[in-house]
Amino acid sequence: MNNEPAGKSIKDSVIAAIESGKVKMRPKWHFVARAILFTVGIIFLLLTLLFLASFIVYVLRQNGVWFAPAFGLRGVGVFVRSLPWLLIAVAALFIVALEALVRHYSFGYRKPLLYSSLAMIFLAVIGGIAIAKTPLHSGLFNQAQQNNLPVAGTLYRVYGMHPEDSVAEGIVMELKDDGFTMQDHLSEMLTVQMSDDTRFPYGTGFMEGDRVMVIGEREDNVIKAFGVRKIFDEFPVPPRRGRPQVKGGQNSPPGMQMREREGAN
Amino acid sequence: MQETDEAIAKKVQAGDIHSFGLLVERYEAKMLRYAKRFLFGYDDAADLVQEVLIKAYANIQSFDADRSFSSWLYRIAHNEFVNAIKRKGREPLSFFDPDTLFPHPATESPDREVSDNELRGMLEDSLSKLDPKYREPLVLYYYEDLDYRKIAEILRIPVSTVGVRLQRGKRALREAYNNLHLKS
Repeated sequence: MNNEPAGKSIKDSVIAAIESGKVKMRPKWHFVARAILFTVGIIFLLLTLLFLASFIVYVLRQNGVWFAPAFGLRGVGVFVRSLPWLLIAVAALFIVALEALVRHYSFGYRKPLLYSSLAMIFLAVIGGIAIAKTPLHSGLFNQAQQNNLPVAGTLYRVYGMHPEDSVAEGIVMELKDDGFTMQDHLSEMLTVQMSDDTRFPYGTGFMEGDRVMVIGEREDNVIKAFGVRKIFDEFPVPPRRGRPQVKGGQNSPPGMQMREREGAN
Repeated sequence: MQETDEAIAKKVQAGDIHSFGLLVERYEAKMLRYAKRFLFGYDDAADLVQEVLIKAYANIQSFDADRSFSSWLYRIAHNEFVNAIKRKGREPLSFFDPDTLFPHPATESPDREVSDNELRGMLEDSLSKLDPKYREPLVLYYYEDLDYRKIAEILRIPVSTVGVRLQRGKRALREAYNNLHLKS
């Protein structure tokens, strides 16, 4: 580079290169365009991360796995075993990519990596839970069930329609002496058998129409329940095929629908 | 009153090519000193500095005149020098630095003057023996007289990590110095 005659200073060489036109100043728009690209990249990664995180929460909620830790150590074991690790690994990759982009900015590199990574994980979890409470995923899940969702449909079909064997979530359809029958989110009818060993972390008193989560050993459509709990949260679920039409409409919580019907009688 | 670097950079951004000569004049010697101390055993320090200044001109529109021109230029130099080290492959440069992962308590040395005298001798003798990761902050702190905040901006690491690298660098320097003098 420094091929100028001996004795010529660096300043002379630099100025000569500029004046001869060998070196050109990059226009401002070049840097503006680059900054926009970076920002778009960050927004894209962030939105995809939030979508993935909320999908993970939705799937866990849909399969009932989300509520498993309420059953103690065994529940925690089921929860850890049932986590969609592939999706979590993909989400982690998005966090790494996001971190790499954010560290180009002073607000990113001024803080230790641990802080910014924890902030991103926190954002993904909180944002994921918040988005999972909206009807976004249940709507997309319905479309996937009807094969109307071209790209993400596979994702919903693979993760949303194959619940963990030892966990089930659904609506109590009929109470029996030793348990109840319930309809899960795929409209399958399951028989839940309870015994003296069955745990009820949130009490008993189940009613027809209650949303419940069951953990136990499943053989075909029979579950020997290790634990049963009611679900009180307001995560939206896709309408179940073949569910009996009751007063109160589709948007009322299932427990309410049954109670409203009983009240009307 | 002397015009600030930032004011001159603004003129260059507006198309005044010759004002860039003033900036080159102000920083040529500093950049050469930085290159020679950081890049031991590299005989192309002058070429690299010329490249740094040319890149500074080419990218001057990305400079934000509300920030420090000196930090901006040192950042370009840091990138250029690190790339030179990678190209030559003589010294190991890790992609990921665990020092940037965890927070460290801020430890700006209060006895800079006292330790200066002791350290200057060690720096002269043993700086070349250090890992570039520790050599660079020592050069910026002791030879370029930059504070922690500026060094952090140049290296794009947290301020507390600068403190950690300086402390470890000084320790490594002492060890290298002792080894050198014990052998002789």
